[in-house]
Amino acid sequence: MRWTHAVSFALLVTAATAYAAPAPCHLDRTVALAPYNHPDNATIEEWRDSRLAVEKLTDCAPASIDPQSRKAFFDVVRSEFATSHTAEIARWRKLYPKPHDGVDAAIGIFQTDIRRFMSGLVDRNDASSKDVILRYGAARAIAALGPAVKHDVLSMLGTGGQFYGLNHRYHPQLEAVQVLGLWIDPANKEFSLAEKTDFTRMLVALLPHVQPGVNVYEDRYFQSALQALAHSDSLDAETALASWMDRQTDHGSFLYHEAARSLNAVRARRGA
Amino acid sequence: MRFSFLVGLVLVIAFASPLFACVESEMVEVDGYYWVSVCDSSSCGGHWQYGVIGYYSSCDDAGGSGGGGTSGGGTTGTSGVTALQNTYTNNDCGPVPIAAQILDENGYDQTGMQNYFGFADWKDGASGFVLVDPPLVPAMDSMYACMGNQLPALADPGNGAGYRVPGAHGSTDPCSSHTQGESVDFSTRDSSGNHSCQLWNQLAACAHAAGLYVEPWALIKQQGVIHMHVTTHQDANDPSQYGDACANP
Repeated sequence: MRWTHAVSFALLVTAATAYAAPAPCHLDRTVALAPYNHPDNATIEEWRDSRLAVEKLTDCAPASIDPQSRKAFFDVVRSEFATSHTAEIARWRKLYPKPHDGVDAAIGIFQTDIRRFMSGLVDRNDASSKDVILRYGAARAIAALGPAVKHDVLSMLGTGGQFYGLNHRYHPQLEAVQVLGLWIDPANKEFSLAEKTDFTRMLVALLPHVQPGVNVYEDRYFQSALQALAHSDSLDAETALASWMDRQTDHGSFLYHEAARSLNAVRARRGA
Repeated sequence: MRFSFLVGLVLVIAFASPLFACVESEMVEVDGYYWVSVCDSSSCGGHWQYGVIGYYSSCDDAGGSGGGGTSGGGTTGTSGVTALQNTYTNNDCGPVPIAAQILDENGYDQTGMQNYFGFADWKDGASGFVLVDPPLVPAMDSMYACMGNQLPALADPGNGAGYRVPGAHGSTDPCSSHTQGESVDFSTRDSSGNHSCQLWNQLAACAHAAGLYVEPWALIKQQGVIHMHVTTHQDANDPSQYGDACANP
């Protein structure tokens, strides 16, 4: 009898606690999406509360996030990158005419944070959010979707992609080339040797075109391709990287350094 | 090259006009290599081709040009140094650094800052050059020792949390102290990846002890994204001015 009382009390306490304090890994959809519904006149406080709520979610382990919050998070990602922050930045500047760093730095960090979080969050069960992940995800998030998105990723390497994020910092092609790197990694068992060889061949075929200083986008793209090749354990990749480095005259460029790091990584994998 | 002309035109307009004076959005095309898949009945192959890979609106987010634009101009060699110097002149961000202050990866790796942040993290986007304010290095040495021989990562690595190209983050302040290599934006996530007010407070105390200015907690919180901005650009402020993150989480 006493045991029943004790259990009842424990259940009561648990229920009361659950009622009083919602699970910390819940994202309040209304708060999180509020400023995106009217970005031209959303207040500084609405943006602040939205970001604080989402940032708090990024402290959570993915497994502890409820399905509604997961969906709300992907909706925030979509809204964040489809929204211009021009009005918010202007409002902030008016309010704080001598900013130390400005809200734009915070927006940039926020965008980095949500993409980083998405990379640890995404799994095969997120097929329903596939469009958001392919469009706005970082390479690791996209790669986590696996062979089901192989053709999507290959088409992302083509033309027609749209830049997104603060200062147009992201582009689907940049992510796609890095996805190939994750997929050719020997630790990846989802793709056949033939597929990995094809992916490596695509990356190696880009190397003859790689030259520093053509334009800013190209430098980023070439850097991503060199980073992708660092995942390889193939002789083709090693030979191509070494050959590219031999042709360079500027050994101070970051692309040269990137190639050197990749070559070292490939050689380490090959036991050279 | 069509890319250079279009983007050059946009940048000239952006730099010559007051901020937020972007009155007519223009879609800016960006050239690059893209993959062309070729399949026959038995297999698929393809080749790389040069052309338009994408576009962006010149008016989005106050016209910054970090990703698709040409901030930093050429990224290697003498032309790259001159192009970067021009971004200071064009944005009226003085002082314009002399060539010796503009560092490529080899130069950066001799500053001492590489002990805490790799070049890829310190640089801004695809710019191949950075600045490091010399007094910032001993300040980082001091913070590192004060924090028990560790420092957190940059809050937005590779995107202006260390060095920032003038105007590339064309919004609040094109001439931010980051453009002189004087500032650091730290992540204040602890080793488990969670935001930590204790870490913020500890970092703030160490930055203060190192003689750095700490952006006040109240202002950071108002932005909704918890991080820490420290700089040599301003005199060290009093703890009562930068505040306590745990007292008002």
